[in-house]
Amino acid sequence: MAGLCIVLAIFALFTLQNTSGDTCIGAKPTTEIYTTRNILLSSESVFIVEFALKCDNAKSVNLYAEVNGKVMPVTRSTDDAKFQVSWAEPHKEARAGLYKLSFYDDEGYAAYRKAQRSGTVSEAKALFTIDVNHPGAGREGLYVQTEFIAVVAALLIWWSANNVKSKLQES
Amino acid sequence: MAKTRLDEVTSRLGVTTSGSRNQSEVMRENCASLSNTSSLTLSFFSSLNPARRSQWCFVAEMKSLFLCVLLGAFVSCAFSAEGDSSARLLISKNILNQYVVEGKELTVHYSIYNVGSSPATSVSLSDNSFPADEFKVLHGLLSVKWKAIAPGTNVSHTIILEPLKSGMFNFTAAQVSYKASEDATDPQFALSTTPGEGGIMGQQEYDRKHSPHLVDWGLFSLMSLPTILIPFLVWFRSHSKYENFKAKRH
Amino acid sequence: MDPYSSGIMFVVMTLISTWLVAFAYKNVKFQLKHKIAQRRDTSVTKEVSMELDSNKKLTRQEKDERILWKKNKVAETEAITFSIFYNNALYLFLILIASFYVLRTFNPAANYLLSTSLAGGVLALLSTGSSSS
Repeated sequence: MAGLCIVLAIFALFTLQNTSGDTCIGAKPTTEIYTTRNILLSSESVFIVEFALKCDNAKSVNLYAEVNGKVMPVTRSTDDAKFQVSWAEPHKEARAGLYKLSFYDDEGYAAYRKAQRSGTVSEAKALFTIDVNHPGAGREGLYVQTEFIAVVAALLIWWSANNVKSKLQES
Repeated sequence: MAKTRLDEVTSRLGVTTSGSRNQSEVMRENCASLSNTSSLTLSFFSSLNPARRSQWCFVAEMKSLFLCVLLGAFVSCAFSAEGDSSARLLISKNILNQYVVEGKELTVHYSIYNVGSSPATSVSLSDNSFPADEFKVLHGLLSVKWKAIAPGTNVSHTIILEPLKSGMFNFTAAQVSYKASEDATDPQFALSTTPGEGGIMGQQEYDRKHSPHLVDWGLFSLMSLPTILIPFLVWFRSHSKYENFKAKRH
Repeated sequence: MDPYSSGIMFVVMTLISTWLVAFAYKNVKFQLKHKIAQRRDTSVTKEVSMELDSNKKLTRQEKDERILWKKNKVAETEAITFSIFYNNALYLFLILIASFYVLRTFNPAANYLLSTSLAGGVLALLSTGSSSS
């Protein structure tokens, strides 16, 4: 019973995807990107890519974003003005560097899935791409605490003073 | 004690999946019988709560999210027994910050998981729990929509806010509406989990704890180093003078 | 912490730690002075006799007295300045470690009170400890 439900559901989703969606020709995104910098302000590295899309044919499209082989549906604002892709990863897995986001419409996504199944992902043509530069998340300011530096400096001074003292005393 | 735990869990489930009034009643009953059989899960679940309620600390709750999902799976079983094929969404809303600080980024993460057996369509999430005079939206959209969420999959959404005031703030739920099945005409409404009451630290207090205090340390070393340097220099002048004297003689 | 009571606390703790630090200065100076005097023996003798070479009128005894006085003065200066340097460095280290690491969780007043007395106490203790050995 439940199995039938799931099959039906998947079928329903696919028909839904195939009937809707028009290609956006000459897509020009204007982006605003945020990534986590300070680990104290977020327990995971968060990536937020907001963009507005301008199409030559002014069609509203349903988009999918792919980054590092992970595909997620693109979120739209309720007034349709803006799109957003956001994901979160543990700080250690979110390496610093360039992330390449590929965007697909329904058709492109189906092609991507097909290419993925046959093992030729590179052939799927993305509608457009957005590069996200993540500088890495860390503590703000100095890497070690200042008091640690001060203590080490004081220890070094005392240690050398102690060396000189023992030299003075032994002679 | 056991009673309050049960209440907490059921109310949580109530908010995460509340469909029509009737269904959530049914679900509560299911949960009550469930709590006897899987008390281990439940006690673990509720044991997570005190940590989360700690004043300044909001810990990422992947674990509790997972448990939500686990509990949700039981709930969806209860529903499929009714012979109802529909989508059911669990929504978690988490504050990812270790410290919530006035004037610094506040990271709010929403996760929506479809535990139902059919896709949820026309899903829209909106969060009206951040008053404009207390929070400024830095990045991300406060009200968003997805075309569809397939059963057994999840979507996530993140926004960055900036708290404008310090003090206690009660982080409440976001609202989600969706169509539970393809032919549904009325949208279903659901609420996310509530991160709960949390303190927003003042900027000064945060800086006192976390900034490198370079100016203060500079002043401190300016005052303390002469007390070491001056005696050392006086000693060193005399010392080197007489050590050299000896060397010259030899 | 109102300024009046903390002012009293500052004055009292400053007096106590001044006494403890001065005690340590004296002890370390005492340990060092003798050794330094021995070290400086030959070079001070040389210096003083070079200075006095031109002045032939002085007797042998007067010359020895001058050398002894000079030696004492040099050893005193070096011992006291080195003692101040050494103890200040150690005090700084102790107070930093006490206030930032050992007593990190204490409230400011207790932290100040304990870290100054701890640093002063340990400083005084160390100065006596190594002199007896």
